[in-house]
Amino acid sequence: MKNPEFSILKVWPLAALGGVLLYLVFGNVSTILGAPISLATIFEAAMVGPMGDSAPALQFSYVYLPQLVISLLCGAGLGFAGAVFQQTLLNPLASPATLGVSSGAQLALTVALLLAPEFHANHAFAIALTGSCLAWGVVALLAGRRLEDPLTLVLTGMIVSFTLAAITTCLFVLKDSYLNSMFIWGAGDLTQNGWNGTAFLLPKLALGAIVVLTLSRQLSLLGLGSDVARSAGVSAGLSRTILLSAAILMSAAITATVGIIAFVGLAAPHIARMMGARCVVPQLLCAAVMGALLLGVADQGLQFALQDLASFLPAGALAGLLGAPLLLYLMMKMSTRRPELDDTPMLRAPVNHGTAIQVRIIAGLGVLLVLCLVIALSVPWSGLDAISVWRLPRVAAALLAGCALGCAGCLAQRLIGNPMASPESMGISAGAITGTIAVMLLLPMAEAAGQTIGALLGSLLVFAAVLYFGRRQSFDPRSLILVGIAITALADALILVFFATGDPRLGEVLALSSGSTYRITFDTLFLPAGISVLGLVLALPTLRWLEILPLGAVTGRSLGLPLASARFLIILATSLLTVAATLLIGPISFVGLAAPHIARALGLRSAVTQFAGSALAGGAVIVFADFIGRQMARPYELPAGLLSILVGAIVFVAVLSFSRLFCPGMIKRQDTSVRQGAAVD
Amino acid sequence: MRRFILAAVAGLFLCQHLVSPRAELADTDQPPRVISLDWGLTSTLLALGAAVPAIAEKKSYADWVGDGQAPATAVDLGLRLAPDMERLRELQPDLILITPQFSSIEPRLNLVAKTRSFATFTPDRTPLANATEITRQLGQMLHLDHNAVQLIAQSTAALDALRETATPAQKACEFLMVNFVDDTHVRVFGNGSLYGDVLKAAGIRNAWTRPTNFWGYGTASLNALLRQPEAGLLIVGPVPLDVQRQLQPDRSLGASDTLLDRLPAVQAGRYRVLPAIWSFGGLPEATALAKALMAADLPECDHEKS
Repeated sequence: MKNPEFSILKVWPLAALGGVLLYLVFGNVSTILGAPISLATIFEAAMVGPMGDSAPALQFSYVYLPQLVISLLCGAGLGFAGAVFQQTLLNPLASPATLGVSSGAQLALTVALLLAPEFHANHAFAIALTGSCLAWGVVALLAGRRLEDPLTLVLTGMIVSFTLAAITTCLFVLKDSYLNSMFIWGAGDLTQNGWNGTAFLLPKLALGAIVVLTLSRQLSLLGLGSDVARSAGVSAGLSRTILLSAAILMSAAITATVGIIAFVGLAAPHIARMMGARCVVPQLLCAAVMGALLLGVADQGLQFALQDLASFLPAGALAGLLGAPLLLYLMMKMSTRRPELDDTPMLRAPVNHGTAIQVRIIAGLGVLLVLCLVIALSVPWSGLDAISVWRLPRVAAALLAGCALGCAGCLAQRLIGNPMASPESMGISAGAITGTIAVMLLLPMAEAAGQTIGALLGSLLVFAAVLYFGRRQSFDPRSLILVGIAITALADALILVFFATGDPRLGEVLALSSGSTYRITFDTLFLPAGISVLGLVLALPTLRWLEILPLGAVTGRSLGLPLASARFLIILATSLLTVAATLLIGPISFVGLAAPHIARALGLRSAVTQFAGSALAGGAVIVFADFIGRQMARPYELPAGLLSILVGAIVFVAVLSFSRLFCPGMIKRQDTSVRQGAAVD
Repeated sequence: MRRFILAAVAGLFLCQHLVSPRAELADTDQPPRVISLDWGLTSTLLALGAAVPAIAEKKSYADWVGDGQAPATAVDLGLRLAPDMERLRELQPDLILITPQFSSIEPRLNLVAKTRSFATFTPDRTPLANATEITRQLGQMLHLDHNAVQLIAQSTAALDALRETATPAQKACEFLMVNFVDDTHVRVFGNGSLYGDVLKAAGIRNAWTRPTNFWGYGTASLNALLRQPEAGLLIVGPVPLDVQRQLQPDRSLGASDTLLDRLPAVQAGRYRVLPAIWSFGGLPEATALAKALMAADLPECDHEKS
């Protein structure tokens, strides 16, 4: 494994993390056994087995040691599987978590626990595997022939992943008393009570790894593109299926054992590549080692820092705290690459309509929105006064949030000329909710206004960070999303840590972040309405510039654009709109990403028409989602934020496949983007 | 001007006082039509023999709290923390009963009917005393004073019986009261929980002294139980399937060597499995727990110390 590109300088993260891990293990073991110990004692204890029935001995051999082993195993498995995903699909953003595989396992396990607890207890692995495979099947089916286009695949993966997670959360909302164990499991808790987990996991991971390593030649050829693989005599379809099955098997086994561990599967292969591992086998092994170290250090660090409390804090969620800054740091070191506009096929309108037709499309969207409003308000009829008291404020909130998100998404995508940008995918919504929660916890006396300022600061901070890191990569779509994912992972980890401490304010925070219009009255509507109007007023004069901005900074400057002030205004407007929407329906929604795409796919290509179209589409989606949430399981309320993901995803997929059917021009472009995708690594 | 403002403020206070639910309810002869959103209060209402026109999350209530005592005619209101307001309004209640955990939706509920909040769990951590007081107040409010007195007497009798029949060897023992979340995590009920108060009232010692949350329990990994190896284990249902399996004495299906069956209490047989009892409940649940502990015949401790 002599690789000239492996230099000491690049291997330092491995060495440093390894050193930290050893230090933590020594510290933890001596705390448990109550005496400073040597490596030999640990080894002896591990080999000989239980050292008697004293409490420290039981603690060491039934809890500590299995947990250490399982954290290393899971980390290694996730890193390895992530690397296989990324190499096979030529996609640096592929991982079990981003492609919906983990969410599929989670949904399947949750449904099984509700319907057949006995089956769930006996066949957790089979259930997780079925769920994972089904989720991947849906992703592959939706991506269709554009499977090799990195952006299409990740976008599809995100849709499926968001949708499945939303269904799972709906089940949590409806049946929380039955799913207590799923809350702990879902956060990725590594606690063990014996060697059963290891015995269960090890053969599955070994099987997957052996399959992949046997096919390492095919894997490295697939990494050069399926055309190259085919010309070298490799059946691209078959070997890809086998390799992905092996990776899915590994990730399903890990999900069934310890739950969802975000981020490791995505970050570890990246870090391995950034350290300079180029060939397939070193890259796989390096990713595995890196994953093991990330998860191991997160878990041991927790035990070390918190001693007894560690059982409350799931390491899986906290791996994000460790991996996110590391990924950001390494990204800054990565070489920059100027993206081509053609790289992003979705940026262009499939059809070039004239102005008259565009106006008619907007009018059509307006009629649709009014129809949604009428249905949401009047079905089922229950008298005018009941409707005005109970439904009107909620429908108004949904409308406001939807329009604000649609506008914010359109602004963000146009600002950086990036089809993957949105308040949600860039982590701006996560920043807003984190700011709100931070103010709520640190300043208990602060009222809504204080929380709003917190939300605004949070979203501005995240936006600034995304732009700072993204700028070094010239706003390359992939790295932008990576930054967004890293920041969202950080925010999520902070929120999960708070949940795990069992604070009585949990209910309030949950209500905020699950995104329901349930508590909204006319009084609480004023503030978000004011903020979004302010955002809109700031946004309107920038629409002219938004026509030029996607063309790049050079073009913009030569056309006499006041670049700095234009960007600042747009950023401020986007943040204000996002904050308004987050205050109303929480951070989880898919509308900011989907609405501009829906508008574009319908043929609205100028900045003004796309802006108007995505506002109308966003409003219609959330108003309809809120209506469904109230009526679908009546009297059981489902949060509008969750359902807007479902409704948004369905509409989005429908519109995309519609435009694909009628505009075959879009499909031809995939060939160019595949090459470029391969060139990134 | 200042006098005018003062007068207006005083007037406001007076008005508020006049329309406060207590004042209004005391005047009427008919018992008010009451709907409770909290399961613990619902269970107390049912035990008092009051009419229960609606239950939130009715099916889950039957699974977790009520043993088939809930009337079939009761309307399902939907989620406890987000009841269907339009359906609630159609039922035309005189009074809605909540706990402080519902305070965020209280302004909305007030638009339907007057609400009254009863707290079983309070910062002074006396849920059993609070539950007794709530039972008395509910009885008064619903003109069922006699039933309330009877219910309280039953509860006192069950606790007294438990205290008097416990042997000195049982009283020497310390117990950990747990509910398994999965096979590696437990909720341990300490001071300030309803279970903990029942133990205290019966003179049985609770071994859990570490921090607990507002409802008096702490979520912990199984290994936290190793800290008190000499304590007995009281396992409250429902018990997850894999835990049931690991606790089974005959392990014909291969030796599953886990921490659970290595726990000193399990090895020495110092544990009892109790039926499922809603831990956030009221007086009926406390009585049920006292009876279940009686029936379980607590393990004895033979260790010398303490």
